[in-house]
Amino acid sequence: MKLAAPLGFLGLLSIIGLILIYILKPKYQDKKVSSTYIWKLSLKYAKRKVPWQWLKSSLLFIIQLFIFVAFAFMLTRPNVVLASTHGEKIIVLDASASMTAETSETSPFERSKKEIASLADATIGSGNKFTVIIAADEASFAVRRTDSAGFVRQKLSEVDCTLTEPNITAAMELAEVVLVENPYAEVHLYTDHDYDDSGKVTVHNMSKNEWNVAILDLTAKRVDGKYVFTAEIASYGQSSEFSVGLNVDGKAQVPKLASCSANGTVKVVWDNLNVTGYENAKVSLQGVTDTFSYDNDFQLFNSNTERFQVQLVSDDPGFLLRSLQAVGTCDVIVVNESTPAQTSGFDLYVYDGYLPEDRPTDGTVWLVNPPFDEVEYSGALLKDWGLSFNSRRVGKFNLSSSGGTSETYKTIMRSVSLSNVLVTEFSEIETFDGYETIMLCDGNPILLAKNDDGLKTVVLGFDIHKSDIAINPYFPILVKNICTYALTPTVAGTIYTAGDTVRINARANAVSMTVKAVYANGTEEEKQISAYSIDLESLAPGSYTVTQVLSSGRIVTNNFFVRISQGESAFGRTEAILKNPVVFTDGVENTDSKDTKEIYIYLAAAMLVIVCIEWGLQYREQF
Amino acid sequence: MGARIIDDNFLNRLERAALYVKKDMQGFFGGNHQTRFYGSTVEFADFREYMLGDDIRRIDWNLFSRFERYFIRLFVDERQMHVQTFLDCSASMCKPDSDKALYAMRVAAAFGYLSVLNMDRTSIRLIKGEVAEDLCGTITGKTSFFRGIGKFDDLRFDGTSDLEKAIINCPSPGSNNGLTVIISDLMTDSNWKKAVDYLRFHKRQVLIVQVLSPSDVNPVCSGRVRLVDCEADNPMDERNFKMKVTRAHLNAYQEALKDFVSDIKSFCASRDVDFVSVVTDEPVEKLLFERMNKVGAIK
Repeated sequence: MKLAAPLGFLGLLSIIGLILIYILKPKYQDKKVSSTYIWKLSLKYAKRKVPWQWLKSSLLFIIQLFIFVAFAFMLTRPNVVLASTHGEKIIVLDASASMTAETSETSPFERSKKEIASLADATIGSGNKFTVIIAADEASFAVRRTDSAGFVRQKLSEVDCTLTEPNITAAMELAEVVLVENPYAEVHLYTDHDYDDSGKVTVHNMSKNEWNVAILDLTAKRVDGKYVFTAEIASYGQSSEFSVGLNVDGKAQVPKLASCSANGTVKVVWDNLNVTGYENAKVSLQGVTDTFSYDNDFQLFNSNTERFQVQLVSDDPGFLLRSLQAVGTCDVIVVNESTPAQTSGFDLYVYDGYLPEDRPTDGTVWLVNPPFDEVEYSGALLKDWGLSFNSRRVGKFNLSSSGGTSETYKTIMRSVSLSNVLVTEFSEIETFDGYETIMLCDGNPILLAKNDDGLKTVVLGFDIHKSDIAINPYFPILVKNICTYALTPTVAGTIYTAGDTVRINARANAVSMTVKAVYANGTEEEKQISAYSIDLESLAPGSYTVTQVLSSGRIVTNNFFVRISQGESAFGRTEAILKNPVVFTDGVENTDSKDTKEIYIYLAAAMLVIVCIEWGLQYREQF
Repeated sequence: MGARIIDDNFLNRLERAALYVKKDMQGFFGGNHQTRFYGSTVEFADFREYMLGDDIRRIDWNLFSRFERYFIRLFVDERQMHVQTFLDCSASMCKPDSDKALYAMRVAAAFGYLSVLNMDRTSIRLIKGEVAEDLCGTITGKTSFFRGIGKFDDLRFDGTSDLEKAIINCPSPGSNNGLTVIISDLMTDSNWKKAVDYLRFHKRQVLIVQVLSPSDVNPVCSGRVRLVDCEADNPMDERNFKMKVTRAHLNAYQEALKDFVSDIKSFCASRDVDFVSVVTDEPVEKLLFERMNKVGAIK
């Protein structure tokens, strides 16, 4: 027997309490009797009658002592080590996408579940335990060391296949948890492919005549101003001939015929199209009757289509304007004294030498050289921005980075070198609550950034015309970095793999945002998103469209495609080595059983019985 | 006389009863009890041959004419007995409730009344400590009796009682002349058996009436108690003691009480002493007219 928590014996200290209770028990109550003569005689009778009278009179205390000891023993969580058995089975069930391939009969996944259920009957019927681990994108126990075949069947009926890759390694690590308890348990893997070296694990390849033609990739390359589309297609399980269709921005192109040998790949190229630009290209297999349909379509979205609206308020916008235009995703509108500035409808507001009377609420604000004296600029107050300036300093000053480690700092200062940048006049910022210092000028904060629940503000405390920074080659990079920080793309990429998590960032000026998914099986789903940023987890294969309605009324859409993993398309493959679950103790493979069974339930039952006896004795004494 | 002790109905029933006194008692002249001795009453008893000195007037001449020998007639002798009642007046008879004392007084009064009813003499002695106090002297006649038991109203039961010393030191225990009734719960360390032997030595007919209360027979208590003896002078008296009363103890008590009474019975049987143990929830009438009748104390 082992004690999981030997400190539980400290519970024996409670016996002191019991003894104290006995000591401090209420005093004897006076009982007046006509004579104690017979009572004294009765004492002799009681003593004469039971030789072990002392035991009987102390029985209640002894039983209460037993209760406390049993309680303390329970606290130690005692457990007994059970003998290991060779018949125990640990089943790892591959729940990846490829297991869903359906022939005219059933899928490998369904066949696996049926076979596992039968194996559970046989295993548990012979008195052994049974474990089922589901290997999806994450591994988890479906049942753990159960003695009930019915429970196994019930849990198996609740398990569904995923559309992700299996995490076999994690599943084997879970198997190790069971092997710690019984090192002689057998490990079985139910999957749809083979391994060259499966070690001690018994692999059951449940594939049966499944085959698959898969579009592995689609690329668009610009050659001589026109796009050339290339689709890489593979056929697994058998050779096949098929037609491949291409649709660019809703316009169908001439389909191509292709043939592919078994387990071979072929590239289908559209190089004579007169396409100079595109937003969406979709390749589809036509006339293919394979057993796995998730990889029969592939979409490609142009990643450079998201545009940001920028309002630049400046009397001399030259440097800034060109740098912003160089970013490539900004549509800049220049505003000066003659044109009224807007406070809404833009993704980025750049104020060069100005301070807006009202802070725009729907975009990032970049203050370049804000007015030093509030009196100079009636109506707007620097303190409303959480800023105050100390003095205007004139001289020759060098810029330096603040050396921060935050993501904001890394984003803004990526690939930017500030050596030899000279500033002749800058505003010494006194207070800057909530701002993070990115850049220093003569030791004073000069470039600040703040993110207030998505409303970002960047402050540059000097006039770029009174510095040589504008002619520095790193200036456009700095502006691009600031735009990267300020103008977060809605979706980072355009292609993801099933099971991935995609972060959707709403624009600051977005009034509403919806995500519409068209899955590979044709079903559609639409979701309204109210949060500024959201993670879409465990994505299913298909195309996704994120639609935002901006406060200006403009509608912005972003698309991305979620594909099946290439590995899942590769039917009938043979992998090299299967990670075996092995448990080591001090560098030696563990063969000692740690299969324990906690016995506090029995102790609790025994304690209950003792309590009942104690209650009975109390009752008997009292009445 | 307090109605709480004895009432008219009770007395009416007693009118029909009489004390049984054994015939080998000598007693006093003038009583109503027949003895085995010959006396001068009108009731014929036997014949005896004439002896020198006999009164010639008692010669039966009819027998002389038949047998030509002298025989004289003998007549039954009737004597007056002395019924002496010893009443235990210790606190145990009165506390924690007065049932026992009241019951004991009623029994004592009943025996006294039966005595005067049969022209016997009676006396009631109150055992207080080592002394047997005379309640009202020797009584003959109903008038004296009623006056005597009127003092029961002022009777106080307290302190201890030593039956042995009180009875042995009694100045006039009597000798072969009547019945001694001892009324007590007998729950005492005193060697009252010695007193009984003493009385038997004096050829007294002895009747012991043990009076117990229901709480003596079936005590109601449990748990940790400090048993306080009613006769204890102070809390530290050795008769008081602590104990944890369990069902086992109650069973042992019952057994002890049973053996205690049984021991008294066997002792009394060995000394030709009548013994009755009574619980106060039993009517006095039942005690006197049924149980006393059974033991032969009252007929």
